[in-house]
Amino acid sequence: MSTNRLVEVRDVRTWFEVSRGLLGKPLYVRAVDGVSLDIGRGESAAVVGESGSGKTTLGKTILRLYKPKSGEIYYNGRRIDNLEEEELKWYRREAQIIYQDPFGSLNPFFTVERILSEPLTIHNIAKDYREIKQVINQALIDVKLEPPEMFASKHPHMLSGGQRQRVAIARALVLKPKLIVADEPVSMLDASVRVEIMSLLETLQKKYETSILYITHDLATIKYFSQTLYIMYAGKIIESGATKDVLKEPLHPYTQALVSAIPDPNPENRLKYRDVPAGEPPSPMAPPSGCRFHPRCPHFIAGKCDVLEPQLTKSKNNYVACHLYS
Amino acid sequence: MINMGSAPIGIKSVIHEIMHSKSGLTGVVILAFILLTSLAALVSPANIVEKWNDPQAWLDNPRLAAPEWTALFTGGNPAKTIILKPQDFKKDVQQLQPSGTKIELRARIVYDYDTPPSEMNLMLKIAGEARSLVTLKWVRPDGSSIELLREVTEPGSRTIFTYIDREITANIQAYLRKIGVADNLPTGVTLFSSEKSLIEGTPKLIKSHDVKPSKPYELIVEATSESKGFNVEAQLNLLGVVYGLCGTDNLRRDVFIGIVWGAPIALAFGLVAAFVVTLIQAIFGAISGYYGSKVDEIIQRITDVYLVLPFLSLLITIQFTYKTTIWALLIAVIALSLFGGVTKSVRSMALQIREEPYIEAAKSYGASRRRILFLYILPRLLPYTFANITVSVPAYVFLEASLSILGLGDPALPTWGKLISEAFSGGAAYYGYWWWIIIPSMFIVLVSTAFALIWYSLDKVLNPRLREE
Amino acid sequence: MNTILALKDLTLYYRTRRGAVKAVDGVSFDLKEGRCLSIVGESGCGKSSMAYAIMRILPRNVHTYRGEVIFEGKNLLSLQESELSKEVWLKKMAMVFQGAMNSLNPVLSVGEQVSEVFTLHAGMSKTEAQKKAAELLELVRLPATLIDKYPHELSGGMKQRVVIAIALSLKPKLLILDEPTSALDVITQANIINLLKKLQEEFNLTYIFITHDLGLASELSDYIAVMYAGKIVESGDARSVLTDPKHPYTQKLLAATPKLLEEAKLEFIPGSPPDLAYPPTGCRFHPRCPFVMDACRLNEPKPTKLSEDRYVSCLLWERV
Repeated sequence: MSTNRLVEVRDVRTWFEVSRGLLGKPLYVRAVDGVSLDIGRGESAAVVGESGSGKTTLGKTILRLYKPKSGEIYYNGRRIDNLEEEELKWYRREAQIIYQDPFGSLNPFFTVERILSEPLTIHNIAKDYREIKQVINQALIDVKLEPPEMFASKHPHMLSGGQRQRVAIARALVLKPKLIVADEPVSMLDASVRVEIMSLLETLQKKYETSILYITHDLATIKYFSQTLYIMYAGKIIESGATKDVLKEPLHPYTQALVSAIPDPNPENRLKYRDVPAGEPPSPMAPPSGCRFHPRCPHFIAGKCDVLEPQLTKSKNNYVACHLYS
Repeated sequence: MINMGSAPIGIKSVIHEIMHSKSGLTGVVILAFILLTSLAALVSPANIVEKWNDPQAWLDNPRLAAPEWTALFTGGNPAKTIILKPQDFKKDVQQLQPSGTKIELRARIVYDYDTPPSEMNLMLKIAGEARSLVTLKWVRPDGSSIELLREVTEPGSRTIFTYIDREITANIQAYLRKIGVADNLPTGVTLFSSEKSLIEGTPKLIKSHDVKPSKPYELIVEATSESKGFNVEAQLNLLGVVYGLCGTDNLRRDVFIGIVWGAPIALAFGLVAAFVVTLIQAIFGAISGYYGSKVDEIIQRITDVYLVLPFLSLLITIQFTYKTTIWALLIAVIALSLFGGVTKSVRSMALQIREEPYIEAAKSYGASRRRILFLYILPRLLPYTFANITVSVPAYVFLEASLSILGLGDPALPTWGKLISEAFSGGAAYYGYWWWIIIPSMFIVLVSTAFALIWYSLDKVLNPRLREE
Repeated sequence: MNTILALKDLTLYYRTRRGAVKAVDGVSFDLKEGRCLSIVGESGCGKSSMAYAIMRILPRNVHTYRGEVIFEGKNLLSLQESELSKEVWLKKMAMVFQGAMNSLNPVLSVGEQVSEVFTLHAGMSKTEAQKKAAELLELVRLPATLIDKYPHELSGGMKQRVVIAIALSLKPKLLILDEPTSALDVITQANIINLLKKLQEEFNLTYIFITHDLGLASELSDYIAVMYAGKIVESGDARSVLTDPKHPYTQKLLAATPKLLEEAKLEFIPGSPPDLAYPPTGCRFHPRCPFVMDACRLNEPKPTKLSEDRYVSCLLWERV
């Protein structure tokens, strides 16, 4: 396996069993249903999709918070999809997560100092209390919570949403990970604060040479902060490529729908209707046959799109899974 | 609003909530009061159990006396206990011719109560080598007198129970016949009524101050003996009809002391049982909820079995068979309550907490399951556990009391339940010795109320919807 | 075009443990019939409270509530509560609350919930109400098969359509929508906005649309009022506010909004919105304003009329 890619994901499926009692056959929620992607060292990439697309599950599967049902995941050339929990402790130092909910992701009973020192304590990193304090202070300065002594003694409920998210970022960075998965890191923050936090993440990512995988539905914001885009629909990646290319010339009808659905603050908007497909994303328990987008697709080809599942093929600058381009 | 979350519920805010609500504060005050009584018990002499079970230790108390404050309701001035110690007797020693010694002991009793004493007992201590002749003479304020006793007695200590002594009773009957009255009057009435009223047929108690100037009652003890080293000492107990704060029981024990000595036991049993049981159940519940799958199944099924167990019946059987002490009973109670309702409710709380992002976050930075359980989940469950402890203390206090009332408690310790049990078997309900039953019951209720009030004040803490916002 | 709603100095303070929270502090504007006004602001600026103040749906801990809400000539603050519930709510004005789609009764089917409005407030019989309910669902482009389904069987977008249907059931003239698409996906959001546009055309509805997203506001609004810390800092027609913002907060908010189709640089506003219990003295934006002057700390700016229906509350414009 080539090792210039930090993370390699090969045809991973993460299914959750929804039991049907003693007699029924087991049903599965096919959250991630055959996804492959790569993340380079120091790269920033984003998985974009709507709710139910499986993007969060994908991010957590890469972090091994879920175990994939099938497929392979390589981290630094090392296979991690088949390891058991006890064998993964080393990986927990390398890969970290930032959650969407700034309040729920911090232990309300801990002070900021305790929140930040937990990972250090668990991995036996610092030698004594003084060293821990140093690391914590540096982390707080990094996320611009200054003076660090003042913030270290606070509890999460004493901080604003933006401040809490900074603590979450600090916690993710304190172990100097090589990979961070950020799950909608700013969607619960005020508009004026979002850009600040995203810029902060970008600065720190560059400083520590960390790869970052954003999970988001907000195409407009992520455009400024990620180099690569993966568009996800119903458990599969349906288009991917450099952010600029995907947004300038979206190929897949779904990507096109996403791009046309997002309103910029333009007063002309009120004069027209948006051209978007009707309907909702399919249930992950029973995805449509063939191309999963076919029930909503304006370019639906009967006999083809509902029978054959399209594979990701290169077209122009992007990879796209659509029969229009194969 | 800016601050999306309110402060998490920690022990500090629980205590704050208790102290700042009316019910909580009342509960704490009552509890403090009972704790103080327990402390009083703990600093008193150590041989509580022996003293409680030794009737000799209580001879200076009246039997089955009501509490003194009942006088406020019944009116009047019922007899209280008067004890005349040896030094209160006026002693006169006379040498006789040709040999022998005559010792006269005179006790003066100023008596102004409305009722005669419930008992009048004389403890005589005669030192010497030979027999002596002892006479007892009783003088009333109106001047009349009765010779109660004239007999020869060996040296030693003896107690003369005036009201039931055969000799004295015979002498009193003779006296009554002499003055021309029926001889079936009770001794107490005879001794303390004026002779005139006795003759008239309507006995009326004569008080010292009924006579002007006031005159005391007198008991004159005369002892004559030839022996060498002859000495006589006496103590006279005029035992009242009322006694102390809580009255006495049939073994003359001060019920108040029973209450005081029972307090630490009740509290200790209740608190220890509640604390240990709730904590163990909570830990099992947390493990069950957090670890899930097989561990969860096993713990829940065991809990179901425990919930079906006939708790009280088993305890009664154990106690009946083994008659254990209270501490063995405590262990039995705990063993029979290792799993229970708290296990189930804490499990569902743990299930919810498990879904919170910060728990998964802990997993992502490498925290082991054990670490998450004890450092992340359990602290969150503490306030609920604390409230549960509070509400179950009364249950255990009641349990111990119930077993004791049934006669299945600790055979030696003076617990509140024991008091009630002895009251019933001593006929308190039938004869109306209400203080013996009601006062211990009241204290049991008081302890329960204190904890219930505290638990009530915690309702706001536990039920987030009742809080502001 | 007549003015259907006029607010004069509308004020709403809440009583809390920390003191009086000045959620809405002297707001005035006029709204013409058939138009849509968007109230744009960040969380905690009081925009939801504004909606409650207009509808007079008040919680128990009200500290101050005064001003005028003149709807079709009548001041709502002077009416009895019974008049409000009988004649105004749902019949003249209706509101789609934030997160309403999650407050649908889980034990009643969609059909039952929608017809409930008719049986309770319009005195119709059950059969009549059911017929009306079916018509209503068609209006919001929901298939009739949904009548027997329960809320948990519906997707987010469908639930929101049901909520809009219920709000419009008694044909109100004014509809207040508080972040109606915040929990929805982008494509579903676009569909709901399309629906709202259609309904406005069909029935000449007047909207008050509350959101934190300037882009979303631009989809529907004829007018935009920018709210900060309980006060309206700028208002006017949408084109003017979006292309030529006058208030520094509006300018910064616009610069902080990511634009998918433009190449503009993103900025952010340092600091965070103030606590409404202790708002800053003078101009409430002054701690974060890049153009702050000494006077801004002392004097609260009054709305300056720049042109017809165009106001800004900023000392920079007051001098002119």
